[in-house]
Amino acid sequence: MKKYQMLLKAAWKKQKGSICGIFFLVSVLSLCLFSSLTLYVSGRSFVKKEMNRLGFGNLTIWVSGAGEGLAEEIENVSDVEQVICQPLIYAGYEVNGAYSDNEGQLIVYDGTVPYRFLTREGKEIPTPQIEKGSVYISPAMRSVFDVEVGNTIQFELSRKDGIVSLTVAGYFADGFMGSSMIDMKSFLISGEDYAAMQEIVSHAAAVDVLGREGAMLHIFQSPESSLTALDFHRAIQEGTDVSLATEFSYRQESILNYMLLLQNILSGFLLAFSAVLFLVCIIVTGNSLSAVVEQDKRDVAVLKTLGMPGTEIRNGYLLLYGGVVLAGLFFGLLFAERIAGGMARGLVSSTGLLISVKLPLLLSLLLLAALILLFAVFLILRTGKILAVAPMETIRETAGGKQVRTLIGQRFLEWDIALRELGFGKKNYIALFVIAVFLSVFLAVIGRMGTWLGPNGEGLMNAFSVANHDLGVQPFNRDVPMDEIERVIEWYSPIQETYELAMESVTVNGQEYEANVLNDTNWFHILRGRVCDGDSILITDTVASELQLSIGDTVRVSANGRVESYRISGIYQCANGMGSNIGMSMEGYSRIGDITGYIWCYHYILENGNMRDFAMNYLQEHYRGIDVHTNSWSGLNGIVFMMHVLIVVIYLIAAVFILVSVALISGKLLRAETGNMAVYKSMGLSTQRLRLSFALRFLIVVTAGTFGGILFSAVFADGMIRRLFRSFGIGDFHAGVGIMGTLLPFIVIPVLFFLFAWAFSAKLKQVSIVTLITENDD
Amino acid sequence: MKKSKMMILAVAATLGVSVFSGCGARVEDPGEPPAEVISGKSADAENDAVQGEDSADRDRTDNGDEILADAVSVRIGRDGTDEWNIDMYHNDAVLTMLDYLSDSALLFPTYTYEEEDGFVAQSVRGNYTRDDEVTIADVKTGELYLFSGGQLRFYFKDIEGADITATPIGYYTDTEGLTEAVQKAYTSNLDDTWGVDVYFWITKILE
Repeated sequence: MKKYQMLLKAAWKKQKGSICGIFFLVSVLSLCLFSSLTLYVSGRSFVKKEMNRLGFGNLTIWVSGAGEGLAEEIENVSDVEQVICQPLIYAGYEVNGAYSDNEGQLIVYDGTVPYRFLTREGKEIPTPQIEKGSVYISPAMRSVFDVEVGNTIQFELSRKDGIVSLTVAGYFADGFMGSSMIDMKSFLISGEDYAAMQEIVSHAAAVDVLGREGAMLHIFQSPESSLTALDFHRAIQEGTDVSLATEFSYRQESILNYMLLLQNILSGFLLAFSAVLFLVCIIVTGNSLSAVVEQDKRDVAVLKTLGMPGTEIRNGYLLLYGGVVLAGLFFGLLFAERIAGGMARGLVSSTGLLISVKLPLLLSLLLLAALILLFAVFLILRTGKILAVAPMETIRETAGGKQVRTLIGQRFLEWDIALRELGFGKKNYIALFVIAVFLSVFLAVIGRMGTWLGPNGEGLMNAFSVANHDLGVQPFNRDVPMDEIERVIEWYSPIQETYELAMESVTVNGQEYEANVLNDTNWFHILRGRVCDGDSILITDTVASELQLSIGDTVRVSANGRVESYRISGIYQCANGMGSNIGMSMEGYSRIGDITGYIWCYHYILENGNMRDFAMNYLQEHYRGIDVHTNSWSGLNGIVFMMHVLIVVIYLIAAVFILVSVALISGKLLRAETGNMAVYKSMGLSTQRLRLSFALRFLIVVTAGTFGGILFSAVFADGMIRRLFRSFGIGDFHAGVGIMGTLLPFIVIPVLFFLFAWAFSAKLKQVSIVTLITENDD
Repeated sequence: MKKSKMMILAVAATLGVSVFSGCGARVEDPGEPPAEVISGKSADAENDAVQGEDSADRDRTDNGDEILADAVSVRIGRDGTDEWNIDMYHNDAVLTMLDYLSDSALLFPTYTYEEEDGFVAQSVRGNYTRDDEVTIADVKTGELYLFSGGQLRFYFKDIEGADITATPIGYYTDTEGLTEAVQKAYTSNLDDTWGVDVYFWITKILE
């Protein structure tokens, strides 16, 4: 034991820098990995529990009209255990001069559903008494409408004296509509206000009424039922008349994905980045360890000569480095919950609830064990050299090395020296090359996603919308002066193109989807096959996979009690509803739906798209009976902002990793090249020039590695991201060459390596002729 | 070491700027549109000017050169099989309407059936100018007109003294049996679940 103590003490004295560096890298890796894992697992389990607590059911269908009758009808379906009907009133609303794209859902708070009430920061408070004239909202509305306690919200129930203003009194945790990723929002109001609103809606003339009564039907699948979620939904659609009153419906899993979209994106990226950090850690640790072994060869030989077995010496090294890695991993694990908690608090205004974060113990321990095992195997392999050290041979070993023929000219002296040293010690630079490849692949991938996303989220807008547009205006009655509205839009920017879209609920082979109906089918984003006509439809990859359909198949589409057969003419992209939608032509839809109603939204493509928000605001403020929207949605800004922050954070972590990696690797290289540096110095070369030459070596190797990584990502990244995006319903991804995906990593990685190498090469100042003499003595 | 720290800071700053560059570039608020844009007066004035230039073209239309022959084909009734061709006038309203049609048959429901006044009508989408409106005393079977509120009427009977002011849209090329076909379609559709009076299948033939 004493032997090990001595060995460790000596190693710590000599390798303090390397040990601290490795500890730092492993800690960052561990923090990044376990905090993102904690956020992901906790978010999922918390929201699921919250949904169950609030009684979402396996499926919830939002219906118009009284829901009790339908609830009874659904309860008669054999696989249904229970249906809970939660009455509500649908009404459009205005907050701080902004109109919502979707109708609000006004729910009376009577204690039957155990909603939690929150502070602005998401902390739970005791249940308040909701006063007449006040309303409780989701905290996510702050990020969408900039609304605070004390602001008023105008709910539009009727054109004639039917605008009800309620004052925001506080926040509540909406477990299944609270996220800013979901446009529909619920509002908790008092029983008196609810009754007054019912009165307005029921007494308003048909031409004036804007709001309507409805309900959420929370449907619970019986435990004995063996149906999948999809088949359960289909059984209800086919076995009842609920489709005639359905506004929209969501399975528990779909809502869960919407609620956690932002957390999943964040934790997904951090988990992927952790994998890259792990590889970098392995490389740097290996490189550092081999340098230490090389450096300590003489000591090892001496110890062996004194009778200490090679295995014991190796165990000493394993103890030291294994201990550092373990300490780093546990350090990260220790703080992961706090970091995840901080992230959850930061996300309150987009998730709408404060996720209670708890480290997933079993999963974390399994992952920790796997990491320890991998590191252990790696360390054992890397310290194998120690066993091979023969004492006498090592002591007798001389400095003799291989010859490298590189002509050194005066003009590009630093460059020539760099090339010569590279040729001399190629092996020592491999680690740098590999780190550059890994980092550049990841940064290029995330950069490509940033490029695709665009500065304002255009990539997501186009992926989620049925067809590109700048502005959409949907009139709800014949009094809307569309000619005047178009003149206003034209004033803001000339209209380049216009087409019309209707979004209607249909069932395809008994499964409910949203049908995107266009009067001009050429606007659909076709991925495969061809556009649809009166006898055919388009489906997304999601629908194709859910219903096991392909191009050429025939399906039965029904709506409004009518059914028709259609052929699938192609696959198109629209990630709306996580891809649960189909595309139809106006002719095709006319066979099952009434095309003469106010279902059409006029979509405009403007010559100057930057004017869209100004035009939208003007129209929202000056016209009633219309819904105006841009190609954006409430949660988009959150995603775009988070992606941009994430890119910066990942670049910063990468920069810190590069800093530590360069510190460790440059130490080893400087030690290996000390003799040569002393020779150059003796020939009259200044330290500055040698430092430049040293940094140039890093630049050359890392540039080659970065180039390789970017080339790899150019070939494979789009395909990889496409596969990942399909799980969100985005069928296609193409980023192309861009600043963030190509140019930025290609500049940033080599430049950082170069600058850090320059900074750490300051040690060269200490190299003197004496070193040369000492080296020769060896 | 101070130098190195500065370098790191400079790199971090450059990085941040590069990543965020292009995000949220500010666009100048153009303000609100003037009253004449809202009222459409300036647009009308411009239209008048354009109208003057177009009148020569429209004369040619009146001379019969600008008729869109066999522009659309129609089947009357949801289960109707007989094809009826329609010639259409070359005017803005017709061109707007044709934009909504394709070579796939569109099932078009009409909710107004007036036996006495001899027409079937339905409001249609689209912005239509009233520049081509004319006043017509007697309406013939098979004629189609667009009224100012966006109502499209198809007359299935001769109506003398109708005195309507509307934009002529077109006419059925063959009117034999047309009245009976519409009446038959109406009576066979009385129990329609949507309350539609007469369905039409409309297909654009014109390329």
